[in-house]
Amino acid sequence: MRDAILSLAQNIAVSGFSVSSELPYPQNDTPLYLQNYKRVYFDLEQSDQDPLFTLLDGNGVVNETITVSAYVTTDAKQLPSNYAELVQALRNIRVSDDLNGYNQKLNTISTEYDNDALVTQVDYVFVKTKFDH
Amino acid sequence: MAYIYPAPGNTNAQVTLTIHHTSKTDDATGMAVPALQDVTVNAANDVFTWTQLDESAKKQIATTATNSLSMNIVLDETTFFGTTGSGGATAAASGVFGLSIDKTIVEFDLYLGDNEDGTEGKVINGLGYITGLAPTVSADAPVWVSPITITVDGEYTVATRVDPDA
Repeated sequence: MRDAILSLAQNIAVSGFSVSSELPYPQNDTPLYLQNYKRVYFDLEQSDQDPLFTLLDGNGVVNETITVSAYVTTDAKQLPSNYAELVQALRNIRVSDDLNGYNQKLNTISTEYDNDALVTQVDYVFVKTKFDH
Repeated sequence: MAYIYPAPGNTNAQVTLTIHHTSKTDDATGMAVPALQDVTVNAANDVFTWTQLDESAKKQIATTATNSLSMNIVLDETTFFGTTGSGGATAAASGVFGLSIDKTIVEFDLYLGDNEDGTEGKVINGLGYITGLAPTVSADAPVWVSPITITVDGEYTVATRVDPDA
C-alpha cells in the first residue's frame, strides 16, 4: 500500500515540493521531514483488523484497516503560495483508480507547529473486507 | 453434567451441518454447509387450549410440532451454487441454491459439537426443504451472507455420533 501511494505521489507536480522515497526516520533525534522542508515523506503502513463475522468453523470475516501517513513541513511564517494545491493533490491520491478493492478510502489532514515550522500530516485510511482463515 | 460447548476450528468438535440430496441412500457423501454464523433448532409444538366449567384455569395439550432449522451463512460460491447447479443429482452438484430452486427434499445431519474431544456428541437428523434464502450484501459489509431455513418434514431424530477417528 505504501509503495502504491508513494508511486502516485511521485507523479504530483507542485512547484517547489518533492516526494522522498525514504522513511521519515529520526536523524539526530529529528525526523527527516523537519530537516527537509517541502519534501513529502511516507511512513510504513500500519494495519489493524476488526471482526465482521465470526463463524462456527473457527474462520471469520474481518475488516482490515490499513493506514499510511505522509508528512511534509513548510515555513509557518510564510506559507508557500501553492500549499493548498499540494494538500489537494495529496488528498486526491485517495480516489485514484489505481487503488482499488477497498470498501472505504478515507483521509485526514492535520497540522501542528514545531516552532516556526508547520508540519502537515496526511493519513490515508483504507478498509478492506477479507476472509481470515 | 455435560454442557455442550462446540470448539470452532476443531474439526471433530465444531458445529457442522451436512445435507444430502433426497436421502443418504441417494447421496451418501452429502455436502457440508460451510461458514455457518449461527444455527437455531426450532421445535415448536402447537398447543390446543380449552376451558372446563370445573377448572379455574385453561387446560392445554401439546399437539403437533412445526420443526425447522434456521441459520445464517457466509456464501461460498462452490457450495451455494453447486458444481452443476439446479437439477444436479447430489447436494454438492445442485448446491444450496439449486436445492432451493428444485424444491428438493434433503436429509440433514446437524452435529451439535462435542463437550470433550470430539469423540461423541449429538446429531439431529431429519428431512426437509431448503427455504428462506435471502442473500444480501452491503457497502459496509461487502460479503454475501444469507439466512437459510430448512423446513422440516416430520419429526427430528437424535443420535449419538460415532467417533470418526475410532
